[in-house]
Amino acid sequence: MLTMAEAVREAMTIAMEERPEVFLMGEDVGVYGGAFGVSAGMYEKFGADRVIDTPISELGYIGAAVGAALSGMRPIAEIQFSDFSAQAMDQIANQAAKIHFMLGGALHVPMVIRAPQGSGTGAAAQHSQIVENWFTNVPGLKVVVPSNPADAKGLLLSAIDDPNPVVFLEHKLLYKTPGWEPVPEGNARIPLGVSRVVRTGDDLTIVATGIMVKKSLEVAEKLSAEGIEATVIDPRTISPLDMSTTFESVDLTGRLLVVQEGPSHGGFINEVIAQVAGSHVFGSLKAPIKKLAGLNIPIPYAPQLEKAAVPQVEDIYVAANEIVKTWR
Amino acid sequence: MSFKHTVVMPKMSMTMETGELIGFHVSEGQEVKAGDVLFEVMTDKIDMEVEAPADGKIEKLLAVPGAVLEIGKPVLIMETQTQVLSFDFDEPTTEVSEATINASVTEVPHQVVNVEPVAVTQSIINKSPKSVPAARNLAADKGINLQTINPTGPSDTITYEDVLNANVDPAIAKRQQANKELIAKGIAATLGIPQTSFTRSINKPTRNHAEWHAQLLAKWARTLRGFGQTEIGIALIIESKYGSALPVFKNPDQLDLASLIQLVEITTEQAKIGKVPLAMLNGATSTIFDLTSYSMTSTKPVLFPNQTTGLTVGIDSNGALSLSLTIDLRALDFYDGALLLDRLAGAI
Repeated sequence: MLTMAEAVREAMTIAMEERPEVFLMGEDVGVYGGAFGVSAGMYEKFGADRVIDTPISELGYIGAAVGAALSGMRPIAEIQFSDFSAQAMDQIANQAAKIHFMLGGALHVPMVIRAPQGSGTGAAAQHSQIVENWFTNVPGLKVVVPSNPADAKGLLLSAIDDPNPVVFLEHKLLYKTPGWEPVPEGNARIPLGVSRVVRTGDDLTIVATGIMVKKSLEVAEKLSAEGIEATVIDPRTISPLDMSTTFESVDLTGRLLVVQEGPSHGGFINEVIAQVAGSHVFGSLKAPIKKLAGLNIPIPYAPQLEKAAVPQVEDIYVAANEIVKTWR
Repeated sequence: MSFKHTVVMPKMSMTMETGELIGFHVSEGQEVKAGDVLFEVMTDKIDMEVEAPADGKIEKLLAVPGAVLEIGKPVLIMETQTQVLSFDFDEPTTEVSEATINASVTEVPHQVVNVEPVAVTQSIINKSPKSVPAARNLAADKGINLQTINPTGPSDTITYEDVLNANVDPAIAKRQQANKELIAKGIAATLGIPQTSFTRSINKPTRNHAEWHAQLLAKWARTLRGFGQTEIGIALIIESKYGSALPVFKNPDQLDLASLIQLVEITTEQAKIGKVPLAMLNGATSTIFDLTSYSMTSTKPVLFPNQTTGLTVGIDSNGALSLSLTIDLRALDFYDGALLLDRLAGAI
């Protein structure tokens, strides 16, 4: 079974074989094979023209990617740690996201920014953030957060096809792990903006993304042994956000637990909660909606504190149990 | 200048002698506008909301929910800015003095029959208890008063399961029982009538409910009219939270279809929550019982009091529409019955 890193590499390789205008650039993506080894072997396969090592300037090469996209290319720009995207924010938020609209639709910006995010590696506050919410508040950007290798491959292929800028955020703890199902052969795409029901159960709906999907599935199996069946939904794309399956599921279960690693304040799960609270399924709620998110603090360096700063399997288990057992 | 007006148990039908106070919609000290619902009353025939006759303020509630009161007995006193003319009853209402008010609050006014008072205290009557949305909806569906439920959720919140396990509001249970007894009594009376039944199937799919019922009503009325009946009232049996409701559609064949569909739609919705307009309670000459949504073929149609025909519609094992008709043999003979059913089948 492929790992997330291998699945992402496979998607990039397929896209570059399919279209000559697709190329990869970023810090250490070439000769070194990427800080997390995602592009290992691609430099040898495609050469220095299509797998480009850039200087340490996110603003510079993201700007170059925007220019390339406007000139008919389809760049994939890797940011070594998503935290560094702050350096390139003007190019991302003010240029890539806006140009299509400010030019009356005359031009497109078909580019993908790939970057690892998330805590758990002991890399402290500047290398451990969940940055997805920086981008969900910028209309004009699509934001994809894959939770497993199979989805990552199909979603990345769609992201590269997409005529708009897509921010594709991979959790670094998932790079070395296989998913729960094999990665399909071939070049099948998974459409952006379509959520996935990963598991079904009648007692509770859990909405989670990225690594929290894996943790939620673990909890769901544990609950199942105790007679509680949970549905786990992975929106996969958090901008645009597909709520249809969540509405359907909450209508059935009446209980909703939303989980994200990123800090609670301003997280995309607040949007999930707001939409459910204001929807036609409000009347089906049997329990207050429960939210689990990271603390509103910079990720600490000390491993125990780092762990305590974001939801863990045990936290999800306790929360799920509470809303099912307290709110019968 | 202000006036004190005593709102009494109203006389709502010719035969009504007592009414049961189901519950108040207002509390003491509350300001009300003319037309606001003050309390709900149940009788052997109908349920009714009693409205404020004028703008004013509720001064005193004089009865306890669950109490059965004779017509004209005081239910509450309100202060109004305009003088309100009282209803004209057989028994003249007496002025209620401050002393009688105080006296009557402490005792349950005039119990005619023994009823279990609903477990509601004055202080919480108008306070909506906390409940999760699903519990609220379930309670509405089951006809359960949330105020009668003991909350087990955090912060005294009523959970879904609390409602699931709750008993139907005694007032509603009593009404359901009364309704059943009334229907059984009526049916029992018709058992002595010489009668016979016919059944036949036709291949016809059923469609949208209100539209299908409207068409059925119109076609059946037209068929009956073809048989010389002039004043036609067809009772359509509708499942409601109080048991079966039987709103009567008068001469449905004389309405245009669009209006009839709308009437059926509105009446069905109203009947489901136990509210059938007074004007639609009487005058049935026939009854329709639609079993198609239960996937049943037929039941033996019964004759309700003063009705000469009863019709049920079901689905047979082949998926065809199955019509069953019972006739009163004193009004129609065997041949008439067969012909009626045949004509209706032709019309459908």
